[in-house]
Amino acid sequence: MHRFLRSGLAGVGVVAIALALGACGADQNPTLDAQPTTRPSDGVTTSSTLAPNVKVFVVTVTGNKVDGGPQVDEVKVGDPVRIEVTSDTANEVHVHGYDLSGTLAPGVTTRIDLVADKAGQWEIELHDGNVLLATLRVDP
Amino acid sequence: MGDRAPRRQRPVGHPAGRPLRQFGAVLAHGVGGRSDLPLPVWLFAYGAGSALLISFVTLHILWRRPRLDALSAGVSAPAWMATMARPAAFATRALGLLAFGVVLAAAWFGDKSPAANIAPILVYVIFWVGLQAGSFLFGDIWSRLSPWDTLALGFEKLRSPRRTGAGETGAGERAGTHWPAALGIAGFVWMELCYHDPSSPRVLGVALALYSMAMVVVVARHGRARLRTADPFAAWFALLAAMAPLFRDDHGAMRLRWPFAGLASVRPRSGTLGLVMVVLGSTAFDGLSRTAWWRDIAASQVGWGATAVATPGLAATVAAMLAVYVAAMNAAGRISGRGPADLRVAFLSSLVPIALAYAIGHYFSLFMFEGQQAIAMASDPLGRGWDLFGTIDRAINYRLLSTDLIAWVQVSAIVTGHVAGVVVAHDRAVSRFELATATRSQLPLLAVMVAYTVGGLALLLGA
Repeated sequence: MHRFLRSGLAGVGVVAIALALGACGADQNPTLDAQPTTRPSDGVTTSSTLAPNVKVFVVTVTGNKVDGGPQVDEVKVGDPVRIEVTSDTANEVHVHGYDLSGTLAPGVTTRIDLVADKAGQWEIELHDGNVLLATLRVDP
Repeated sequence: MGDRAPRRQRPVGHPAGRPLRQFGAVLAHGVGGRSDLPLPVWLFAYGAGSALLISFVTLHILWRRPRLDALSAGVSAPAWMATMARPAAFATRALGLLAFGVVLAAAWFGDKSPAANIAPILVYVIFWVGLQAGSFLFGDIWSRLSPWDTLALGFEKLRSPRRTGAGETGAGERAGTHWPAALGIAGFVWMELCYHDPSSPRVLGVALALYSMAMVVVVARHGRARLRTADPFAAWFALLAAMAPLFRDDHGAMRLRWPFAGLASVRPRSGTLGLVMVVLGSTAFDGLSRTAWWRDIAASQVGWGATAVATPGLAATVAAMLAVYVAAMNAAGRISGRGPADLRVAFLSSLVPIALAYAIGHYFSLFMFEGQQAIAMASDPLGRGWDLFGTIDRAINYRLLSTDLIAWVQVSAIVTGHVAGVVVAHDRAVSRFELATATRSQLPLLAVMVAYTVGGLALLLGA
């Protein structure tokens, strides 16, 4: 049991360091990137690194439909934005114009971080089936 | 398409970042994933207000005798333009053939993903949007760009090398209705706005094949000149080209005239009303389909379900635009004592600038942004991993135009189209009726134009 716990703790520590490193990397490239949380070594950012002014939008997809219907998410140019997508089926999410995409695994939340530096209304959609998830409205 | 290697991979700053795939060319609604910001309400009010004001000023201040007939004759173009005309026509024909060849090859043999194939961007953005604006700016360029006109011309020359330029304004052009053109454009906008997979290269390939077969039949049965009315795109672009400052007279000489003045010389055929209404209604439907209201209706539909929802939507929009016009002409008929059918034809050309204004209002930013994709894709039109011109990594520069500029272009285009429509309608009225009748007969049409203009602006509010 002890060994189990210890190795578990060590694992958590490694993951935490990886997370911290990943967060640093993300800070250097603020407009990129999208990763599923299932691959922490890919450098997923955790909520502890979330800056206070980040606009977070949560989308839940059930059966290729958005719970509550597609919303318009309004931000200003320059705002940091986090989009969290959870789907019950595997798919791929894509943010138009910013050309960011992320793989969706069933039941796993995928986060896309970006800085809203292009004005306009941008579709966030599921790649398979062209389902509109939300519109990111960026005002100048 | 998941098993295909992404064609263009952007360098990703993140050590373990996935390659980002370029999806810009996915034309979910015939257009990419960007929409303009809603028009500011104050700008909407300015646009709508000036449209109203201009309409009423027009009735009382403008000329009392028709002027456009005289103006539409224009003046001779400078000699250097006439000199340039032949090499320019040759270059334009070569460009048209080349572009058609590229589109055909890409549609049939290129990558199946629209993101890695130049055909959708060339057809929906460069060709359909660009040539509508281009016809207005430069005149009837499609008559030279059209690959079918060029191929038919080559065939003519092969058969009788001595005869050149025959059929420019022959009987073949005067004959013919616009009904096939109206149906053809209806099919094209249905594919763009209703069919659920409009940017699939293979779907485009099938459409191109159908179009090509139809054009071959037209040329074989009626001769090259008939393309001017039977080629759907030639018919519509020619109406737009009537507004251009540059035109050719009946003898083929180049002349200049005021923009829009040439609308006075447009002689509507049977089916022209349908053609104009299909274009006008399609743009209106494209605007409508971006509203939150429509998205609520259509959001849950995918595949053929989406097609089944959008198709009646498009048909209803075209029908509504047509019904408004027909009702106004019936009212004008009662006021003026003329037959409504006669009036429908008389005032028809005044709707052409409004249809163009709608197109510019809705597709200007699409052309300027998504059109940039053509520069990158020219390096690899078929998605084979080429980089012919070293442009393959060019991303769309979305900061090319500010959102303010886009909004001003949209409103200016719609208000200018409205003014041009009102002026042409006024001129047509005073050329047909004595002044008092002309003024009264215009009232219903003015109401229609104000409705179209305010409606067009309202669609840009997008809410």
